[in-house]
Amino acid sequence: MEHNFVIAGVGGQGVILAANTIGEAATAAGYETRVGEIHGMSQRGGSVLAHVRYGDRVYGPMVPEGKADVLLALEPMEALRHAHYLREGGSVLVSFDTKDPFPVSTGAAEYPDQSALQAALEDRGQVLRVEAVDLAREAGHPMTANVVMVGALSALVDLDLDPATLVDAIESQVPADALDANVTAFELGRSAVDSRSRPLAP
Amino acid sequence: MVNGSPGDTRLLLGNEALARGALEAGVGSVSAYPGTPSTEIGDTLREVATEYDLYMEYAVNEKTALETAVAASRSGVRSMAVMKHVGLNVASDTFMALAHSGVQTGLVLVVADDPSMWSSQNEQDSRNYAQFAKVPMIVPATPAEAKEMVPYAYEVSEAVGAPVILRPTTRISHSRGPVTFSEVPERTTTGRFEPDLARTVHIPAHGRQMKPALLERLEAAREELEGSPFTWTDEAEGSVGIVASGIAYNYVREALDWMDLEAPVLKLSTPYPLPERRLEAFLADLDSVLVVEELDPIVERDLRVLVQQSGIDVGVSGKLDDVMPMSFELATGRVAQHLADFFDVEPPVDFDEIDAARAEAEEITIPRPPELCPGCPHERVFTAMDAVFDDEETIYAGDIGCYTLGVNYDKIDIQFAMGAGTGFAAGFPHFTDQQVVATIGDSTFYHGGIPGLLNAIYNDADTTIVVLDNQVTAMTGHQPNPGTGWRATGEDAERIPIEDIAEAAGADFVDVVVPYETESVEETLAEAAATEGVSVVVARAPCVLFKQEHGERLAAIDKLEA
Repeated sequence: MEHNFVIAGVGGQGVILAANTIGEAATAAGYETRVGEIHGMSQRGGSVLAHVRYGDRVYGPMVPEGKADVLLALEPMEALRHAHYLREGGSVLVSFDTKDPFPVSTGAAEYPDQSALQAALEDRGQVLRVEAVDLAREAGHPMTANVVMVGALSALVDLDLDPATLVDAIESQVPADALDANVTAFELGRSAVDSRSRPLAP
Repeated sequence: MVNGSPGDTRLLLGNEALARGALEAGVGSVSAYPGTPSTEIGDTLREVATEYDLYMEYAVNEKTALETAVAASRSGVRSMAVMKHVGLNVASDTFMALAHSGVQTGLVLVVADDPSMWSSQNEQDSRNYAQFAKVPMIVPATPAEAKEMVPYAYEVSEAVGAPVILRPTTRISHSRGPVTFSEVPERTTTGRFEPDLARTVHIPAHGRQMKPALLERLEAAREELEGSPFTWTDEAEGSVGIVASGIAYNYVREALDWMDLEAPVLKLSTPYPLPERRLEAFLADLDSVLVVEELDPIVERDLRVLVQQSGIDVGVSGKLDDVMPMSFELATGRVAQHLADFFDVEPPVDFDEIDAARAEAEEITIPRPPELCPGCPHERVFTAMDAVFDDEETIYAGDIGCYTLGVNYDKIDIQFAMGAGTGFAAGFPHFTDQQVVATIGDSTFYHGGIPGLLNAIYNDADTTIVVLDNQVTAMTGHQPNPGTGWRATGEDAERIPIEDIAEAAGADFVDVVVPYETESVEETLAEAAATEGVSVVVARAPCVLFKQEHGERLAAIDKLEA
């Protein structure tokens, strides 16, 4: 058994926290776990990519290109930028919460057409849009969109993890006064995908 | 993060694992200069330094960090110096002498390399420094191993009498894995310096005694490292073997499994000096061997020498015969592609299709370069510079920090290394009539910018140096420096203001401005540029993120000094 996830977004969206939540849960469940992340310059509003892998035996900290089961993306352009990590039959869980990069905010470039992004993503795997920011607001805090996505992932894939273990992992990652909103966000993410019941291809 | 009982298992960042390793090794002194990807080692230890009675300092630069480590070690305290790869360039003068001097109490130098330059100005392989200085080096393959290697590195250091380099890379430092804790012993934090002039005073007569002793220590280290518990062989059928060093071992193992390939693999934890007997035994039954390592062909070259000297009949492949790449980090996919070619088997996935998908995505997506945070004071200074200076007639010398993003504002024309900007500001005026304006941050000014300022003043350059003082070492996550008023472990310290240094050195114009007061910044910059000689403008306002998170610290220091 081996799970490989790639989580993409923009600095400040909580990519690393989402990755660590899954990683903590996998570690608590006794799996060999690796979480790979990049710090430094990329924290300054740039692209952020994290890798989470766990199972009976895992090696390097990065998911190889062509081996990711699911790409979890908090921003659509970041989804496409990393979609080549997906394996055949993999899925994209994506929030269309667009963030303008520096060349767009200065007017030097235009943000790509959303339907073009969607179409290009569909070439790489099945695409499920999650209204993560709306659900996060409903949960009580827009910053919990990352945890909405973790909830959505847990409904899409059999993570070989007890949902209670994931909730414990959330507790280990977020400040105490934000715990309720995060747990609600997790549940809302779970139901958002449950209700569409599209299982991941083997 | 690193507090816990023996037997506890935590998901730790490689750097946190190294910090825990320092506690378990009984380290009594940690001196560091922050730099990605090494920073969290110091940041983790400064949180617990008081609790564990550990001396922890953020030094002014890597050279002074290493000198503190030498002082601790020579006083009988196990010491650790922590830096990124380019930091060792700064520390290298002391480092080379340290290699000759040797140690009695353990000294471990943790140097984090950054293959692919995720957060660095150049790519360099610190294993070259091990060879250059003849100092033993150990490289981890996982966060768990990184922790285990710290106590081992001290054992080797003390057994052999040499400093030991422990070299993680970005993918170790910044990846998490399960790490199981062991006992934290009592530590020695003070002692007594016993002079040993023939080893501590580097005059030529002593140096000539030290050199043969250095070579003897190297051979002792080779013998010691033959027994490294972190080097092993994965036995398998086949006459084609692989030697994999550090993190590359993971990529080789995964790639072999992915392709259902069998090959004996020697997992090497000590790239220098090589455990020759173990390698000879491994090579004895092979027809050929492929060396898989990141960056330079360090192991490969020494292995080729070993094969030639020992007369073992085995072909060696790697970078020198173009089987493996010379630049950038490796990854499982990249290794799988090369292994597929080398073993003449099908690759596990269609890498051409993956490359095509990436290329297609690059056509549709817009790059997302890092940018200054909303409200950043540096940004205000760059826009003021834009209003004052004529880009066509100005040479902008930049430096290393968040404000390297001045390149986004066309306010950097040349930028090399920590503090090099003031050096360029001192140099250019002798050769061109163009206006010269350097920008440098507070921590970088203290680290390496002061010699350039002195050079400009003493050698009479007409130049302007703008110090972007955001009152903290911001880029690496808010460490203290001599301008902040507090030390690594939190206690207050007397500030050494940048403007005082400039005035004391005799700069022709010195002024302090607030970046948000645009008009005053523009006027001051214009006046500085018009002044004949060396002008220093200190643009001071706190980093907005630091202010959000630690505003109370700034307020407390201001109150203290008011």
